[in-house]
Amino acid sequence: MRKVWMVLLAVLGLAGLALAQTTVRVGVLLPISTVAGKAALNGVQLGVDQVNAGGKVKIELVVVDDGNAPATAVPALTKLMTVDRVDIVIGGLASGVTFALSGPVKQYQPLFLCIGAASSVVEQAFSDYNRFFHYHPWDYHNVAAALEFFKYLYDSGARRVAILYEDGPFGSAGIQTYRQQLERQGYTVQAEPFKSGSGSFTAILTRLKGFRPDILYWIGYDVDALPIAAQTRQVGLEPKLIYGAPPAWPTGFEKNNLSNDIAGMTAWLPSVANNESRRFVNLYRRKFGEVTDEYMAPMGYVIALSLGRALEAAGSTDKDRIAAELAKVQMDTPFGPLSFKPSDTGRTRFQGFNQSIWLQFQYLEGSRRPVFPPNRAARPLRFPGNY
Amino acid sequence: MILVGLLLLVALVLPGLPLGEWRAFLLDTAQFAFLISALALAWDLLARTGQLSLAHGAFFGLGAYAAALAAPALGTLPALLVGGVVAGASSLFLGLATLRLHGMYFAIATLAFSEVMRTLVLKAPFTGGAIGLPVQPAFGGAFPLGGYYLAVGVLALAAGISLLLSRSRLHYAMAATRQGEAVARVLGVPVIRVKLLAFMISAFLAGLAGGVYAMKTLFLSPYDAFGLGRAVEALVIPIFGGLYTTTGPLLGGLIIVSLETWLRLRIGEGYLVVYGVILVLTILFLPRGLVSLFHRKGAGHA
Repeated sequence: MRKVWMVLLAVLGLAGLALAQTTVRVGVLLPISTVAGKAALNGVQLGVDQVNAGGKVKIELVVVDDGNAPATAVPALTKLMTVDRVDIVIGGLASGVTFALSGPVKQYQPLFLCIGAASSVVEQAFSDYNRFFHYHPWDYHNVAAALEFFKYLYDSGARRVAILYEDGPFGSAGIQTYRQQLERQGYTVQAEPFKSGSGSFTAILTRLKGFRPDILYWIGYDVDALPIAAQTRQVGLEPKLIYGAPPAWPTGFEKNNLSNDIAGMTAWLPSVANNESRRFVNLYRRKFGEVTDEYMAPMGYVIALSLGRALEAAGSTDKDRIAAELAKVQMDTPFGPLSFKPSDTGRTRFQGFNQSIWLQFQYLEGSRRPVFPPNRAARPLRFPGNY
Repeated sequence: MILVGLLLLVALVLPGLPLGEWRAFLLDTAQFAFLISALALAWDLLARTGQLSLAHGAFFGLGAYAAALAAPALGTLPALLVGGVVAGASSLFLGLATLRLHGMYFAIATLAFSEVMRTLVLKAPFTGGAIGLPVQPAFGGAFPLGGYYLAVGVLALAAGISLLLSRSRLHYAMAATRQGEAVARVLGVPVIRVKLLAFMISAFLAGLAGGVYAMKTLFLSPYDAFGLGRAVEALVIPIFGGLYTTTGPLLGGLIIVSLETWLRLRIGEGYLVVYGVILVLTILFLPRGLVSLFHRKGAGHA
């Protein structure tokens, strides 16, 4: 009889817990066919697993592919809002797609947790929307972080920068700003456009020999990384630093000797030495059987965790109460501390990270090592590098 | 003809049907499907002269940018017209230079045109360049279904022009040009003029569709607006639905967009594999497109 009572009590306890648990459906709108989109989704799922394991709140995900195109993303968001009836959406990776979503988002009024979309155009588009939480730094934060590193290089003796930029929107968008800012720092700059994926850089690199750059700064895609590294050596350009800024580096690039001493910028690396980062790496490895270099994975993870905290504090599925609690969230993350403040321009009310999360790394002995800023460096920057 | 009329009627009354919770999603998807179908119909008009164009993505993009830039000053409808006219005018210049080329050579010339247009829009000081261009919604957002009915209007216009042309003398001139230019000339067909006219009408319609697209997505970037993917889509749909017909591109566009959307929702990752297999199988077993199913059963001429 006693056993029966105990079982009954346990069942009632569990039922009570289930009833007390706040359950919320969250829409996830990401380009899941892309590397960054898939990494972001993995991160969100990992974060949701953690939140649900806590037992206080339960998040159910409704995942929809935004196709990385406005024509797919707009109906996909509409479906999330009207068919799946979610009140919270995690998404907005690419700036163009996120801009296109600004109209329907304002129409349906969800709590929109934006994972990427660094363009200031997006900041402007959501300036009058108070349920917009932007986690990723804005483009001006990215510029500020890169310029801080170039200032350090200038102090280390660098004077001439050769910029190779791909002629598409990614490479040419901020080129004039970069050029002016570098010149303001005292650099002499020579900028040359190239067609990404062409694989042939010898003509441009040979022309740059006369300029004798201290830094070869290239803005392009992953496919350009290896040809630039190889052909820089081939023509004997001998810069003191090759600094690349692709959205993603080629898979396995670190295993190629040509990558040695090449530097770049990222928001996170698995080797980042903080507790939250180590915890994320372990959890990710356990769930997916691998370690990712894509910083969108921890970004998705952070969004899910912060949402979990806000849900817990709100104790309700009301999106405005959740938003109010999210605005108060202060937590340690793989990127460092997270809290929401108005953006630097004052256009949006809830900006998560800023330039402080960016770090400069260098390919050293087969892996990417943080080298700048000094307080986050795992190794000293090898400058001049050996190319 | 009956099927085309039915499809357009359904498009017209769709917002009033009891679609329940799927209503908004279906209307959004349908709007993009109508615009892509209109683009495919526009492409098919030129294909009827035997010319394979890869410039229709560029006409779509030119229409989109021109309408987006003109809308603040002129309002929605005149801006859309500007978009169509700009696309049509650009096709006139392109056509004068290239319509004497045939087959692959013409296709390459139109591909080069697309690249040039994309680069010009990328570099021009008034297009927003690589950062992109915000666009105001149709009618300033005053009518929630305004954009939807504009898309229906563009589709109806494309289908109407296609049907009219298929019943006009120009239809025979276009068919003769496609089947053999030398013979067509002997028969007295002004081949270049016929091709030029088809090209301009076709580009005008593509530009109109682009304008409505811009007012729906609210943002344009050169890589989206001038993407080669859209040019390829414009030619895949008529091949899938049935070349040189009105029903083919119309039905093909609606089915392809619906199929892609459905697969994306049901399968998620990897849906493109299934989508590709279905396209390949259709082209293998229905080389004359979906409309051949109706012909076999003796249905009315498309």
